[in-house]
Amino acid sequence: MTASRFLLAASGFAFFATAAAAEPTTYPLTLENCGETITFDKAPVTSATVGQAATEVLYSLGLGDKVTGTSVWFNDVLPEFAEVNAKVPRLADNDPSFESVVAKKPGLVAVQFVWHVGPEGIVATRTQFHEVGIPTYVLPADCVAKDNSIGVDGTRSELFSTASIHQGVRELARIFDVQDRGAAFVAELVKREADAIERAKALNLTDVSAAFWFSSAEMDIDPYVAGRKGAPAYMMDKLGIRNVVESDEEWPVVGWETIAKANPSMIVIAKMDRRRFPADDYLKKIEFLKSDPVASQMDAVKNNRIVIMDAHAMDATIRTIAGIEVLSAALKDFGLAK
Amino acid sequence: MNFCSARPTRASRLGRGAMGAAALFAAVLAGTCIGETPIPVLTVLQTLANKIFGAAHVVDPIDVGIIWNYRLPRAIVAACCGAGLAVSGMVLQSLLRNALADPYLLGISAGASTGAVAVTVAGLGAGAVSMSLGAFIGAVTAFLMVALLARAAGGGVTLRGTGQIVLAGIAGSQLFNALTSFIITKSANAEQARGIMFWLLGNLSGARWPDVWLAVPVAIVGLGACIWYARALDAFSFGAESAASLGVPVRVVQVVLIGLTALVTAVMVSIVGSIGFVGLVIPHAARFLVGVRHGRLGPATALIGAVFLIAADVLSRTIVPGQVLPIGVITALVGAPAFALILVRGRRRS
Amino acid sequence: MILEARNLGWSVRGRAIVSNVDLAVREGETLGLVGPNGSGKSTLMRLLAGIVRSTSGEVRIRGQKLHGMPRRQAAQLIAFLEQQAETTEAISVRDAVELGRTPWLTPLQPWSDEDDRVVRQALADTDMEGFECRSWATLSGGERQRVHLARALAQQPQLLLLDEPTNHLDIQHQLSILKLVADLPITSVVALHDLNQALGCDRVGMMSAGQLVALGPPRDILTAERIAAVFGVRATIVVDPEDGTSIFRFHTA
Repeated sequence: MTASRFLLAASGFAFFATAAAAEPTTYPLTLENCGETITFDKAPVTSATVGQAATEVLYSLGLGDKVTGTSVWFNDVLPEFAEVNAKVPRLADNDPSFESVVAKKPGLVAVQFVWHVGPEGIVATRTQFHEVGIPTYVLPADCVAKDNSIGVDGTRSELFSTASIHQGVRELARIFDVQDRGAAFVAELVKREADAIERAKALNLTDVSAAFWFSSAEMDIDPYVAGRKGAPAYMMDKLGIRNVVESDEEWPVVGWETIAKANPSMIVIAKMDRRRFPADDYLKKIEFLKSDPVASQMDAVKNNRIVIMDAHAMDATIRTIAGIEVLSAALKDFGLAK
Repeated sequence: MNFCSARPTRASRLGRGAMGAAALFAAVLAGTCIGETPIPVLTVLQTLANKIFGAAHVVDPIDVGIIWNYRLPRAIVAACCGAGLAVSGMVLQSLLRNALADPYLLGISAGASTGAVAVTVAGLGAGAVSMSLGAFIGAVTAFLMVALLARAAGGGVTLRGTGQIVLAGIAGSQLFNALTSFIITKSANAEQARGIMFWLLGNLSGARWPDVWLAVPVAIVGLGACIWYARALDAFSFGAESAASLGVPVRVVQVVLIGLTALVTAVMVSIVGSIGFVGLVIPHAARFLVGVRHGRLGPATALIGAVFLIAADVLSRTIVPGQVLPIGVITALVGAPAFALILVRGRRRS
Repeated sequence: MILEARNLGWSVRGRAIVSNVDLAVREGETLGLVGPNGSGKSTLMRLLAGIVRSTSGEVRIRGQKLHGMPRRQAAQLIAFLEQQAETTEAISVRDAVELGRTPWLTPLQPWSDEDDRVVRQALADTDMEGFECRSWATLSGGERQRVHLARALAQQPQLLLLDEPTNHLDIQHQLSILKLVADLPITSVVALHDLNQALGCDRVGMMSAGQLVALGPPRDILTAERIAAVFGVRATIVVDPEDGTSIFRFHTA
């Protein structure tokens, strides 16, 4: 999986390197971003990031040399960016302090999650950054059609769409005046997604269902599973898979009893580097599924239809597209087509 | 309130015991029949018949798993926790002569949280220690600190100083709550913190048979000790000095019972998290119903606690379809009005 | 000699509250203990009851050392009524009196008809029959003190220790409680506030600054000179024309 993703990403680089030049950005540039109006007189010279997804978007745009500090890491950086990332200092593995970000005097702070810089922001509010003359940009994937004041992880009012990921890539490309690279990268994401959907459509699937298991606070306890509005729900929607979970929350807690009775055709489990709960380890998840007296009776487990997916792909990030590809491939491998 | 019912005869005591056992049995059965998803009662009975009496009804294996491995152990663990926490609360209220005493007074809940967070968030124990074990170690550590502090603060000079234990408990709880916050803000992200909060409010969804084999003996030992010391606990009605003059070895009883309640609470908290309200309110409810004599009060408290927690757990699974609410929310939401009713009725009758 | 204290003392953080008390209580007598506030009366009572462990000297009950005796056995010999023992529990009079049987019961030796009989007798002895079902909260101060006394009697002790049993009671209840105690056929030690009431005891001990400064018949102990020295008041003796008994009248020194 990693190798294929690397190849795809590498071909993407080649793609936008040769793509026809898009319009250069005209400054001053004014943008509406997650409820705030931001203005740029010129392209920022440097940027600090809060959130791995924001960091990886900048790397994808070839702006690695402009990133002067990163924070909030969930996983290892994508392998194609390992080299670039090694030269960038980490402000913090988790939440950075306001001052450590400001100390870098960045021309822009690019942010993944609203809860880091929103009205209750735990790093600081956006106003605080703006008062010291540092503009902020929050990836629209976390605020388009999403109310971050409701629920712990926020609540989406409509189904997430990769369009909001594309929007984030394009807007960052405009801010940094690399619109041709942005357009090329979006084109690549769109094509990969369309191809994956096409491959799934060709299988002519009927009534395939799934549950996405992110983790559990304790091994036997009710798990965190994907709700019906987030990135996993989008993947399932596009590939014609029914989500057995019916909750609008991003990651609701649903009992194994409910999941087992719904008896999904496949189970997608998250693979992550985090090891806070035993269930963070995908091997432990598989062990549970095979040994639990109820979970082991599900069709998905009996027929070994378990998909292992990068946890960060289950969040609304550029990795989501890789998630769609993994899921599409799994549908084919499992021979669910009739 | 009937202050002077006739002393129960052997037959009426047996009758009450049988009624209590029947109520408990009915509650466990209800907890097994009602769950997140509808399973016909007949299927439940057939499954139980297969498992217990070796009958050979044909039942869907998923249903068998849900009934036998999820719901039944869950109901039994709920009963044990309800009984254990309620009895612990009753013992502390009696010993410390403080109506507001609950099993978490001695820093146990705060310590358990710290232990759980230290293991899950800070990664202490490097994966070899489960969250439950971490919670247990935290709870016992906090309790020992509180006990030492209470001793150092002069609880040992006269028999009058139960205030020191309460104050030491408050100090210990504050310290461990602060430690928990420190660990969370230092290293957690939102998703982890949510998992912890969920657990802190109490969660029975992970209860399986091994938990039953832990919870049942602990609950029985707790209740047994309370019945064994029933007369000693009665003697604390007028305070520790009065108990001493009635021939109660006050220090011994205090150390044994406080230590035991701490242990019972720590075990329950490590299995299901900090479920509030039960330990504080159930003993009062039981006092209203059967009076203050511990020979009757102990078993009644245990029974009401057990039935109450099973009922609360059933509600937590069914009140919002497709979603499980934290049981601590239910115990307070249902328990507070129920207790208010008992208070008002008790007042009218006395 | 039912109870004997030798060189008895108790100090806390180096400060002596009670020291060098030698005292022997005789079979059947009522011994009064008087002394100003803070003279160590209550502490001495608790030492004699064995509730507080002495820091020097010893107490013997029927020749046996009190310290080291199991509480249960001690409570079968000595009943102690502290000052103002209160409860907020919804306890009934019978519940309270039944507590007196605690030292005679074990989990394996449960309540018997004999216990019922003792409780009934204790209630009768304290004129509290008919009050069994009353709740503690509804009792007056005098009734509560009677219930405490009934509880102590239900212990069937050989020695009764009473710490200011008439405190906070109106005069009628003071007299009736004292009469009750005096009429009981049981050895008792009573800490008293009122020197006139102490005149009715068989013997009186006077405490001052933690020491037992005098012990003997009331007339010999309660002299004007000693009262002036210990209590700091001038006392004159007045004779009641009704029955010819003498009582104290006090004046500021």
